[in-house]
Amino acid sequence: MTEPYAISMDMLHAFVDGQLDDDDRIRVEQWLVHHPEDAALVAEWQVQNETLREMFPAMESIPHVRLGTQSQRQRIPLHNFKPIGVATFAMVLMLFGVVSGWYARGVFSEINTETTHVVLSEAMSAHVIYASDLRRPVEITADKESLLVKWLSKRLGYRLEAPNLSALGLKLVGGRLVPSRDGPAALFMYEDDTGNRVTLYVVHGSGDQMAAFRYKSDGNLKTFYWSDEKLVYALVGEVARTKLLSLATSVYEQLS
Amino acid sequence: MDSFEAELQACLPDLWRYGYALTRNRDAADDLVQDCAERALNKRSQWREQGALKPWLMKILLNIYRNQKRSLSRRPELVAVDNTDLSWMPVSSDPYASHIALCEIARSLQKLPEEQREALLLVVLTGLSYREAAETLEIPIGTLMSRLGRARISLRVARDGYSSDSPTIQPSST
Repeated sequence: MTEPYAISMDMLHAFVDGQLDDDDRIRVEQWLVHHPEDAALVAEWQVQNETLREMFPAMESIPHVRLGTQSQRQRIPLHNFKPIGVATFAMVLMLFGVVSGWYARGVFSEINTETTHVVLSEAMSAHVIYASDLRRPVEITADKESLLVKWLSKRLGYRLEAPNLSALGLKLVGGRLVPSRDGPAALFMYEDDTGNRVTLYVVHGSGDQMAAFRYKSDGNLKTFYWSDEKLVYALVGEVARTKLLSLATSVYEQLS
Repeated sequence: MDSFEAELQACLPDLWRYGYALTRNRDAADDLVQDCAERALNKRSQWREQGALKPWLMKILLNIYRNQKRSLSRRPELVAVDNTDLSWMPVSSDPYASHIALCEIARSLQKLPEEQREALLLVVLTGLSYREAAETLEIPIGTLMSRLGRARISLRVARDGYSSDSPTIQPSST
């Protein structure tokens, strides 16, 4: 029992999973002859593997996948992702300094917490429901941006704009109208190169003005929210807090 | 069809199998593979920088699956059905003992933590190397091995003891 392992547990796993080259495989086979406990373990794992493969058999035929139809509609610009990542990171650091200074001023006006709670919960729900929808996440896509903005502005009764976040690696997917307790709300959706989505939720405010960003997280889902004299904004996404903050800062600057 | 699309096609059976094992539903697996292929074609410029295609595709599929699962988890009544329904299991023509093994493993598979289930199924069903599987899950190889080890212990305990609540591995005999 106390015999040191010449063959590690990892090797046994690799043996069972067919991950060893011939030499190592033969070494393990020889080891198992003299180590019945390990042999029993390996036999058990082999049964597990076979059972899993039986439970989830390979499909009978190649699935019919529509290649090159819908996929042509949004060609991603051929840029290299990594340099943008570095630039973004630098910008995040810079903005983080700016915004934490802003925080430190402690300018928080009175806010109605109940209203805030409702808006946040609606913004996060809208994100969860629509951002995960691959086929039809938006009602109007980004190629009809001016129509989208005109329509949402009309429904909310304020002139809106879809902020441009391409400098931070996000492109507009489109937008939709969503219901809220306080009437129609606008949802703009953005997406990065990996398909990770961030949504901007805009709804009528109660007149309570927040002079600073506020932050709320629910598991991985993070939100920065703020308001001006007319509207409340919530930017929601599953991205790093610093990244979301830099996005929120950019949105704020473009809309104010 | 260019070489990217040809290679993508070649990966589809394994993508589908993994999608099926994760969702336990053929239609859901079809949709996952379709969505994954579409997204991969949209993002193909990004892949050129990155080497092996299959782990990258698996990563996309896994992301789609996780997002969908998360959005469903806000409606727990829908999730509960999936967890208890074992009727999806294929009827085995093998001896009785093997059918028992299937049931016990199916049951305990559902009880595994998601991260262990994703790792075990990925390694066993998709033909990826450990390195590629770790890359897909975005974890170090050591973490992959430990998830694999813990998953296999849980399945074994469940099979031997007929109940994962019991720490002993003695079959209950009457």
